[in-house]
Amino acid sequence: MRVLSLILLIVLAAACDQTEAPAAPSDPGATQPVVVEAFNGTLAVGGSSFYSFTVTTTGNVSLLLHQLTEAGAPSTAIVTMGLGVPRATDCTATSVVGITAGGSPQLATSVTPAVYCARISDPGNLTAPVTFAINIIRPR
Amino acid sequence: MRISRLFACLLAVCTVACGEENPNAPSNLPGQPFTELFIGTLAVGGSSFYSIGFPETTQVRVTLVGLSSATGVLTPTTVSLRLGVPSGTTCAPSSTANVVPGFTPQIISELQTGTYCVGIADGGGLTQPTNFLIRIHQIPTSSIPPRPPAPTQETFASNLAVRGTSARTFEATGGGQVTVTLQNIGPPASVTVDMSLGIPRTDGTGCLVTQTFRGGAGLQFSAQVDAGPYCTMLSDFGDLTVPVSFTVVIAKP
Repeated sequence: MRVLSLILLIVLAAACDQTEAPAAPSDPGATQPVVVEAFNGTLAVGGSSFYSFTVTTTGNVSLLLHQLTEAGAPSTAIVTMGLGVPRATDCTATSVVGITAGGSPQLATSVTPAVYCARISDPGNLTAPVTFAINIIRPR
Repeated sequence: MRISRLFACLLAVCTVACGEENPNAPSNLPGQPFTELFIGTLAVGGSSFYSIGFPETTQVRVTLVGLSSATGVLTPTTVSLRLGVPSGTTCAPSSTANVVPGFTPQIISELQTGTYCVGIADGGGLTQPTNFLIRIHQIPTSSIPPRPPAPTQETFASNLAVRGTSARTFEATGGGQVTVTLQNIGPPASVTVDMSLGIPRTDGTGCLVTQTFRGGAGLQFSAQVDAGPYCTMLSDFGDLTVPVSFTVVIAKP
């Protein structure tokens, strides 16, 4: 019985560690080396922002919005996050999701070597500017 | 006499009107030359970039065509023009040139399939926000002609209304000299007008004037240009009292 309790405790502790370490890649990192790039900034009401990065080997790219704050307090607003390619003065996103900040990647897709971009935008839900923190987890 | 204010006003107006068009990514057809216009406003000490992409090896020719202040004055300032790869929130340059506006490319590079960016930055010369117009000409290497074609000439004959404008778009099929001549105008033959050279907007809705000269019949000016579309425009600055007819001859590469 003591042994069973100990095992349960270890399993629970491991689960808690995963949710408290949002920056750590989950699946992609298990099979290939990854790089995590931080895309941090301020999103204006009705605005958008993007970040370009280069992928040199085929693999998975995951985007994790792990922080969204309004005036220093966590925001539960739904924003739009996408993955695409830089075009003209913006990022043409081909995969787009409406999300709130969380602990695990909200968008993941496999990619081939090329230049890509992560884009965040306000679909009309913000009433004040928010600061955001996105981790871009890509193949090394 | 060179009239810079008109260009600057037109560029300023267009910048406002076109600024929101840039995010709509244009699409290029494989094997075909393609031109994109990067129009915007450069802040003092600031930078801006525009991303391009192509599916085959392509010669990219980047030309800073115009700079003007928001108040309508031509700005012959030197700025930094860049060609590179989008990285983070900027354009990481692989080629950089300090340039002033002109019609011939300041950066020419042959690039493999992929995504690249053209950037502009203030190297310290700006004293106020400045509108810019950059032409990005993309020519697949498979479509570059082995020899430049022979020079040709075309005639632009039309009427000009009081306070009106009249424009013609033409194509320079290679680099070289363009000469525009106002062969005749009137009656009366003594009237003077503004005659301009510029590049057409990519959606075909106007002529972005970058050089303007004032005069009557016989007025002529030349400019070194790159291959691509151009436009010449006649406009009445206030000298006309009745509509006139005119003939302009355009000699081009």
